[in-house]
Amino acid sequence: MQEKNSINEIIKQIRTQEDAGAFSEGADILEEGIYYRDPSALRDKLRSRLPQRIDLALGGEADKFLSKKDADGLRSFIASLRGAIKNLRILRLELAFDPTGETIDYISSWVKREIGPDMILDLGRDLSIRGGARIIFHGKLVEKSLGTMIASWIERDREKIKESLRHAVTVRNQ
Amino acid sequence: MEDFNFYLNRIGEIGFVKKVVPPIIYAEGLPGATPEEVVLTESGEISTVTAIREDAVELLSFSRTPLRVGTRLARSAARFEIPLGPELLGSIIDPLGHSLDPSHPLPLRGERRPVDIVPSGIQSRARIRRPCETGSTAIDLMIPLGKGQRELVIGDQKTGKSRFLLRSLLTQVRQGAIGVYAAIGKPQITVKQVEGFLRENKIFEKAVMVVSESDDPASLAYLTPYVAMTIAEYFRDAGNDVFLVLDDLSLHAKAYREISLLGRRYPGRNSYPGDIFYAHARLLERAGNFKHARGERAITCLPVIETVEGDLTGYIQTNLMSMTDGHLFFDHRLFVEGRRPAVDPFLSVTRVGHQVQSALKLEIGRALISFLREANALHNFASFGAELGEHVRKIFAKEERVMQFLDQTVYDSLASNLQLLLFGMAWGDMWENMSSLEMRSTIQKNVFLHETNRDFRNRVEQVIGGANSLPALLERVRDFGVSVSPVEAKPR
Repeated sequence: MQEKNSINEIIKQIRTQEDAGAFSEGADILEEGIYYRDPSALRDKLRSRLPQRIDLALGGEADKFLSKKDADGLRSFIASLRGAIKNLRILRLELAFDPTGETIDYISSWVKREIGPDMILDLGRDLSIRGGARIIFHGKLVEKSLGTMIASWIERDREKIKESLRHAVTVRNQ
Repeated sequence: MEDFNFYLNRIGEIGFVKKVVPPIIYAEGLPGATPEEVVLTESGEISTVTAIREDAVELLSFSRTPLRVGTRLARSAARFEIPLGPELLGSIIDPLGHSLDPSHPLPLRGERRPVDIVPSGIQSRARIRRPCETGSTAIDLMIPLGKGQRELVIGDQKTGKSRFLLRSLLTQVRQGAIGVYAAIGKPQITVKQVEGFLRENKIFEKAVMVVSESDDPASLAYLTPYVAMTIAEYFRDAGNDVFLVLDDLSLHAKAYREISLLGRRYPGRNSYPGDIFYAHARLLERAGNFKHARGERAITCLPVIETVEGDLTGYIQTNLMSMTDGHLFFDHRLFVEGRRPAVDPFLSVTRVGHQVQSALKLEIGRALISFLREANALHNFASFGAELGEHVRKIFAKEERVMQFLDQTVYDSLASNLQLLLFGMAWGDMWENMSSLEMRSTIQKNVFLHETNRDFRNRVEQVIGGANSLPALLERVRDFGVSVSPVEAKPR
C-alpha cells in the first residue's frame, strides 16, 4: 500500500515523455545501486545523471530501502515503477512554439486533472500550425490549429469575403 | 489517389514510423488500420498493412528510399489499386503504375483495379480450344500450347528461355493478341534488351512492360507479377487475347522470402514462408480461357523459373510444375550442342495442348517424338562403337534432317502452314541428299517466299488444307514440287 502511494506520487511528477525517460533511467541506476557497497555512491550517481527533482524523488525512495538494507523491497519498488511508467498514456501535442517549463506544468496539470493522473505529454513543434495545437492520442488526430481554423472560416464565408473585396475595389476605383 | 492531408483530415487518424527494417516498417498509431490497406507518408510514398500487432502496425513499404523514424503516416481506407487504360499499350511502367519512360507519360484517369483478387470461378471459364502458336516448330508440333494455358518455362540460366519467350510474344502479337511482359528483379540491361527486341520487331505498341529492376526493393519485385496479371485481365475484359510472360518467378520467390524473414514469419522449407505456394497459385489461377461477351478470351501465361544444373526437383520448381498446365524444359546440354530452342521434348509436358491440335498435327507430333526417342536410343547403342547397319544410318540421316527442320536459328517465327510444309519435305525424304547448309538455305528461301509472295502462301494453304493425315501430307508435299529459285517479292 505504501509502495503504491509512493509510485502514485512519483507518477504525478512525470509530465512529459522526457520525464518518463529520465525516471526510467533513474530506475536503471537504482537497480545497479543495489549492488553498491556504499549507498552514497548511488546518491552521487543519481545527482550527476538526473535533474534535481527526479534525483530528490528517487533518492528519497531509495534511502527508505537502503537504510534498512532491504534489497528485495527496492527491487519490488523498481519493478512497480517500471510497470507504472510503461502503462502511462501519452498525449501528443504539436505546437507552433517551444513551450516553457511553466507552460508545460500548466498543460500537464490540466491534463492530469481533467483526463487522468496517468497522462503524460509528448510535445512537438510544427511551425505550419501558426497557432493552436494538433492533438494526437492513440493514433486519433484532432486538428485545432489556427491555420486550419482560418482556412475553414475562409471556406465557409468565401462568397461574403469575395463580395466584400469586390465592393472595396469598386469604392477605391471611385 | 489523393494526397496525405486529404486522408489525414478525412479519416482523422495518424501514425508515426517507429522502426524501419527495409522494406518493412513498424508504425505506432493508426488504430483503425485493416489488413492490405494502403498507408501514405507525407511525401506520398505508399505502404500496405501486412500485420497488426498490439503495439505497432507492420507495413510493407514500396518506397525506393528507406523511410525515416518519426515520419507521419495516414490511412487511406482503400486497398492498393493501379490505374488502367488503353494508354498502357506501348509503355514501360513500374509496379506502382508510374511510367519509366519520360517520353511516354501516363495520365491515366480511367479504371482502377486492385492487384490482388480472388481468381474467377469455374462458371466464367471455358475449355481451351484454340491453339496458341509460338512460332517455334519444335514446340508447336511436339509440345503444343493452347490459348489460356499456363505453361512453365524452366531451365538453367543462358539456355535460350528469354529468346523463346520473346519469339512467342512476337508470334502472338502479330496474330492479334496483346503482350504483357513482367520483368521481375531484372538488371537494366536485360530490360533494355527486351524493349529493343519489341521495338525492332514493331510490336512495342501492342505490348506493356511491367518492370522491377534488380536494385529495387523486394516489395516492388513481389508486386510486379500481380500488377502484370491485373493489366492482362483489363485487356482481356476489353476483348483481347493476352499473352503474359512472368520473367522470372524464382526471383519473385526470393523477394517474398526476404520480406517474410524480415517480417519475422516462421521459415519453412528452404527458409521460404509457408504460404509461398499460395502466393504463386493465386497468381497463376487468374490466367485461363474465359467466356466473354464476344466469344472466348484468354490469358495465356508463361511463367519462367530458373534451375541450377538442371535440377527439376527443387522446391519452387516443383511447386510451379504442379500448378501449371505443363512445362517446357530447356536443357543446358542441348543448348551447348547447338540445339535451338534447347527444349528437351522427352522431359517437357503439355497437359492441354494436344486437345487444340488438328488430327494431322497430333499424328505428326506423335511420330516426331516417337522417332526422336528411337534415334536417341540408337545413339546410346552406337556409342559402343559397333558397326552401324544401313537401317541405323538411315535413321541418323533422317534425324539430322529433322533437327535441321526444328532448328530455329534461321528464322524468328514460322507460320503454322509453312511448318507443316517443311516437315513434309524433311520427313518425306525430299532432302535426303542435301547437306546441312543446303537444307538451311532451302528453309530460308521458303520462309522468305512465304512472307513476301502471296501466291506461294495460297499454294501452301491449299496443299496443307487438303491433308488430314501424315501419309496424305507427304504425298501432297511431294506433288507440290516447290522451286528453290527465288521469285520476285509480291506485296503481302
